[in-house]
Amino acid sequence: MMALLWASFGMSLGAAVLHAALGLRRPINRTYLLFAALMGLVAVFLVQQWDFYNASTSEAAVEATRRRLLVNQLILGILLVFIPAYTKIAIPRGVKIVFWAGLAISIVANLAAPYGLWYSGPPELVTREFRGQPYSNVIAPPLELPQIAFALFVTSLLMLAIWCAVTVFRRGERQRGLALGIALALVLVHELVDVVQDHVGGAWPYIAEYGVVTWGLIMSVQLAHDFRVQAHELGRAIDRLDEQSSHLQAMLDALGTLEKNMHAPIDTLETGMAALAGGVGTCDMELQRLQRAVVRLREFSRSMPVIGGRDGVT
Amino acid sequence: MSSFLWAMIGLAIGAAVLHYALGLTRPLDRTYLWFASIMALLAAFVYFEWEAYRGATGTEVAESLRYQVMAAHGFVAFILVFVPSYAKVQVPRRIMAVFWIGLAVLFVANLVLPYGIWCAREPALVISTFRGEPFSTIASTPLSPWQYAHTLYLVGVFALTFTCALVLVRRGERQRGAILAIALVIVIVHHLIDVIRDAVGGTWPYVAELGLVTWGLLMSIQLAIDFRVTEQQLQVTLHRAEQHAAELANIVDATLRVRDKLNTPLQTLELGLAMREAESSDDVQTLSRLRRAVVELADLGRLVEHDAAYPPNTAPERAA
Repeated sequence: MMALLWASFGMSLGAAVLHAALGLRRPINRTYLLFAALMGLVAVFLVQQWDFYNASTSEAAVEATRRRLLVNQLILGILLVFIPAYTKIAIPRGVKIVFWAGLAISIVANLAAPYGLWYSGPPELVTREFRGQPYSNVIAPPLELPQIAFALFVTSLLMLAIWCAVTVFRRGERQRGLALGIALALVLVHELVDVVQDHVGGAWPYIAEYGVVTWGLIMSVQLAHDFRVQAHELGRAIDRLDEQSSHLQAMLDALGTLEKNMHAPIDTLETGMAALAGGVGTCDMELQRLQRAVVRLREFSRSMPVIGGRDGVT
Repeated sequence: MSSFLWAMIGLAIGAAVLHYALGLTRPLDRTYLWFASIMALLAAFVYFEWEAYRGATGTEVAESLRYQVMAAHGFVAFILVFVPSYAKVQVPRRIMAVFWIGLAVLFVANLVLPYGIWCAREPALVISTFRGEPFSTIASTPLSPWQYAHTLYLVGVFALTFTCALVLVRRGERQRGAILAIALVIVIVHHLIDVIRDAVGGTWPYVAELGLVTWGLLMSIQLAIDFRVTEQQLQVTLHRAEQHAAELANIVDATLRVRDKLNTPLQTLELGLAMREAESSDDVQTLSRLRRAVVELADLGRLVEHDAAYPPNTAPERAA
């Protein structure tokens, strides 16, 4: 258990550092910074969990749980900003206010309640073993209204995030939506297992943290994947523009050829018209019409934009 | 200490997973795949270190160290492909051949030597403590020719990597070169601490893995930054290409408008000259010249449509 907990800590810390480096590069990318903060808090959460498993008294376990829940609440707060930023979905103002107010109340309740928000009364400390390694756990008192309300709050927040994932999926960004949805479902399942464990007196260690770490790992991979997809799309857009520019350049070259070579035939037309006009009377209306056409040709040739010397896209 | 080692394993696995995901997205990026493999082997390296600390006898510790050296050899093999690929440096074929042969010899030696390449003879177990946690280590033994060869080989790999970092700095990619060099200095410093530890008979834990994980973290960050730099460069290129295409489109539009205006007088001339009859032998020649000039002008105008109808990239050659 120690190995898994600390390996998860290293994974979270590494992801936090990496995504912070990605987000802090100018122009600053808020989505990556929020994710880095999330992963940093997950690492802190794991340290609190370690403290809980090493608690020697019931009071120490309650305090470790209180701190762990506080970190959990901060994670939920960042999730409320990260999910809309990542999915590019505007959550209605009213819904947002309800969630923020709920979160604020739960933080105050966790800090003010004698046993924190997780326990309704004093828990009983027990020592258990997992794969030969002893660790401390507690037998929690039965759930009361604040605990049920908080569990509902967390579930509804995760449901909101899953709804965002479904919207992303339906918008056509299937892989992004699927990754977010699956990762969130894993968090939800792990959280529920912990709630069940606490209230049936299960002897296995908490697993919520692994749900969050798995979510972090999946999202970290997805964010990295998004980067490559974006770079690929940009490359394709540049290729398309390059083709378009080549096409335009080809037309421009042809127009340049027209601009360069049209003067000689117009000169020929002018000289020829003058020669024809010398041999006939001024009453030849047809010839006058042709001469006017040559004059117009000359005028248009002079109004051609200068094309020579332009290069294609490099 | 165990928690610290496991945190490093987690960090290395996390970086490996992330960089595999980056490298495996099509089109495949080999540099990221090499780096991900390095991080995966680094996780294995640290894991065997943890195993060595738990050894109950000198032979058990020596076996763990043998596996650790095997992971290190895999690590070095990927360094040999990653560093030139990252630095975009063409290392001479002969030098690479020497490195690969050297690695193969050391790999086999580590497998066949009775106590691996790290221990010249059966090591004596020493139980030490670090922050209250007991761990097993071995009393250092005098170096044998194999250990000297191994150390020299590693110095050679470091020198090769430094050379690549210097090439990067000289080429103007200062940040990338500096990060590679700084990360390597950190690895060397940690390795030197381990050499000193063995030389003075110190009983504190080895720190080489800490240097390697720091190297991995720094390189991981640099590779991620490279991605953002590439993305920014692509954005700038796209913006420039858009501007250029818009500029070209404007000129083409303006020119086409003028070209279209030429059509009416050209049609007048075509029709008028076709219907006109020569009144003298001189007129025959003049009319024929005029008709040829009109045909020439009409052909030049049609050339533009002809080029516009051809697929892009083939048109410029035709126009030329």
